[in-house]
Amino acid sequence: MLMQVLEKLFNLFVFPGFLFMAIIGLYFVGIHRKIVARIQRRIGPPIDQPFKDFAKLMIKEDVTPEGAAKGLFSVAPYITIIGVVIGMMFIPVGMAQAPLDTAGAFLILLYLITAAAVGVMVAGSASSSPYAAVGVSREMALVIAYDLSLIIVFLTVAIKAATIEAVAGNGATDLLNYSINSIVAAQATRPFILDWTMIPAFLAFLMIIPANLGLPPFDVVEAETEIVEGPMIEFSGSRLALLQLGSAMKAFFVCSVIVVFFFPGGITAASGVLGTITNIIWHIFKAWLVYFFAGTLVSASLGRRRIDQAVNFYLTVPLVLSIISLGLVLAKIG
Amino acid sequence: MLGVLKKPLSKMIAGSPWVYRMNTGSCNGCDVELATVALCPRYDTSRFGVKLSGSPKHADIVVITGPMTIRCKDAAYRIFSQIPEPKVVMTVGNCPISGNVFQDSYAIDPPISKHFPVDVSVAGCPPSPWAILDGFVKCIEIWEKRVAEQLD
Repeated sequence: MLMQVLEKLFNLFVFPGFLFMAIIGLYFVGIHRKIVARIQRRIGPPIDQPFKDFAKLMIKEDVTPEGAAKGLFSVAPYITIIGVVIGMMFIPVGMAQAPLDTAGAFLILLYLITAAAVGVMVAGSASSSPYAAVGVSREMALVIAYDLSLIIVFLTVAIKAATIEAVAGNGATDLLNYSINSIVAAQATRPFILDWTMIPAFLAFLMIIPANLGLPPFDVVEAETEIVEGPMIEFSGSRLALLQLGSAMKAFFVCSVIVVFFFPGGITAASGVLGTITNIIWHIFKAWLVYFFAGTLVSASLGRRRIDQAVNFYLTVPLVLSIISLGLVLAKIG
Repeated sequence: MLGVLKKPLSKMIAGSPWVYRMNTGSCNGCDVELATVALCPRYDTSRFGVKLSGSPKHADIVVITGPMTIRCKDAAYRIFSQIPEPKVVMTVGNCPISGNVFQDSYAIDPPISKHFPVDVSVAGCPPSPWAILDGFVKCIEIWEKRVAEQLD
């Protein structure tokens, strides 16, 4: 019993929880900034720049503005971090089994991705700044715009997994019984990304990444040049450090969700420490590939859209793509 | 324990100076040299870890241009007090040093060092981008010392 509790605590705080996510997430952001700089023909910051920023912000003075909701203002930075760390518990990183798994886990993941955005909203609305208020209202509009396609993508993946398992004649076929492990198991012979009916859903999920992670062209929430970092404006010192850490961890988390939903599985079948480490590195590499194509390349080459253009985009292209995929999967084509 | 870590830690932290620009009545000549030449991708200050921040609450290095006109004095004091410690102050141009061509005007109150603790002054009307970059490098050296003091 004690061993189980210790193991879960290790999962929560070290691997694949807080520490692991923090290091990988910050390196993701650092590599992102370096590649963007090279694409724009700059030298760019070193790839450990986010670590320097984090250490710097931890020693800076912490200012609480007058008129801020003090309780919420100090709690808000933790919401995103807690949300994504719990979400990561459901994801098998280079292992056969995720630390936590339950029936309907994909619905919990959906909820936790939104919870991470709620953290930013709470932070902004607690800080009593008009810029933050504008940022929060934009974040809400964006979340409402892309959440619909996100829900349809999640449903598509679960229904597809249920269909495959039903054909194979094993396991639960009821949708709500679907856990992340069974979604991974359904892709044992063929990952969903190789299935042409799932490609539209995959593209829709990739299109959601820039808005979800606050990257150009849909970084309307944090738009530095118009609403000066939006919800982050009043934060300083360690709370700003935690907010930035949270968004870096979220980048790794969301990319991991895509990896698990569309191309999970390790590179080696070898068990033991070496095999596990190889599989973990393989998972990180796949997550980084997702971040590179959907985040880095897109944000290096496109300028910021307005909020109405962003909402229009999310209510048309990703929504239509995800509905196409859902229709194809429901019709059992392919 | 901390004594051993102090040096690498302060070196690491010194690699992340975020810059906030404050215009206290400048004629925009220095702002053009500063924001659109010295901080542009051509000279790429982000290789030192410099990031332009829009909010004074994120700032480490405050860059002040202009001779401090009477009208913006209150606002300048208010913004300056919002910048969290430790911080480094740099002025760009001749106006913050002496008032330059506006000397003895009733509408200005130079020098800036009378109001805020200035660490680095870059002279010139306007100063060249290389001078401003040199100022940044000097600021980062001072910033490293401030950080080490903070860690004590």
